[in-house]
Amino acid sequence: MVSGSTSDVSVSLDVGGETAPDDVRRRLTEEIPRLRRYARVLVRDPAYADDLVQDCLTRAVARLDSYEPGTNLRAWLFVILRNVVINDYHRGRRGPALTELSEAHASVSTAADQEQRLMLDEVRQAVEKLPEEQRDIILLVPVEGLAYEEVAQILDIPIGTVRSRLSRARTALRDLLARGSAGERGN
Amino acid sequence: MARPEMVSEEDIQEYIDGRASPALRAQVDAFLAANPKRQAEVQALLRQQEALRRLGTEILAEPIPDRLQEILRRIPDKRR
Repeated sequence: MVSGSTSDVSVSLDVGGETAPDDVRRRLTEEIPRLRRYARVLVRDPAYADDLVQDCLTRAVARLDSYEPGTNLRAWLFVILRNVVINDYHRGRRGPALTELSEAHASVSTAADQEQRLMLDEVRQAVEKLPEEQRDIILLVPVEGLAYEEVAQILDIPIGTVRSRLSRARTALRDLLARGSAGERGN
Repeated sequence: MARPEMVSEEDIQEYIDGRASPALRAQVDAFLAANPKRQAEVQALLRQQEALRRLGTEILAEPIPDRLQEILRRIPDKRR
């Protein structure tokens, strides 16, 4: 029984079914697809994106003791992934593979599919052109669908800042897209 | 006929994110109906939101690469 367990926080990964190793593995596994999407939308190159996720998971597993059970695991993982991105990707250890369109998904099925893919590529390129602060918020809120509270936690900013940054980022993205589609006619 | 009340920029963000309560949504709808220019802008942002939401969704359906699964197997069965 864990009554009066206020001092047991640091060891509570040991107790109870919810924090058993299998459960930790399962919960971490459930978050992997989102981590992969975040990384890949950001860096495009699928192998490099998975390198970043791999780094993130390695750090997460090594520091599992610093995760406080009951708190938001997803937010905790995104903080780690963002640190990996800042340390690795932004430092340019690997050249950003930002400019080319991915040919990986080029198995065209229908014209409508293709049109949609072109549209999504356009959106993704516009996202890449956003200032970092705004790109962050776009990747976490509309793309990942995280709650404002989670994003405030991940970025370590007040929730009001999440809202105002989101508003500016949306407007900036819309302007980029408007400019892009006006300038690329005939390409 | 309900008089459309002012809504804040933050209300509109929640509306676009689909996080507005039904009451707020109705309020924003009424506000936009009375402000065609703002309505057109929000419509554009909603289309953009839809595209962003679809960005990378195919990745979510991919099987998790073994090299990532492998890391989780390193979690010891007995923790202390």
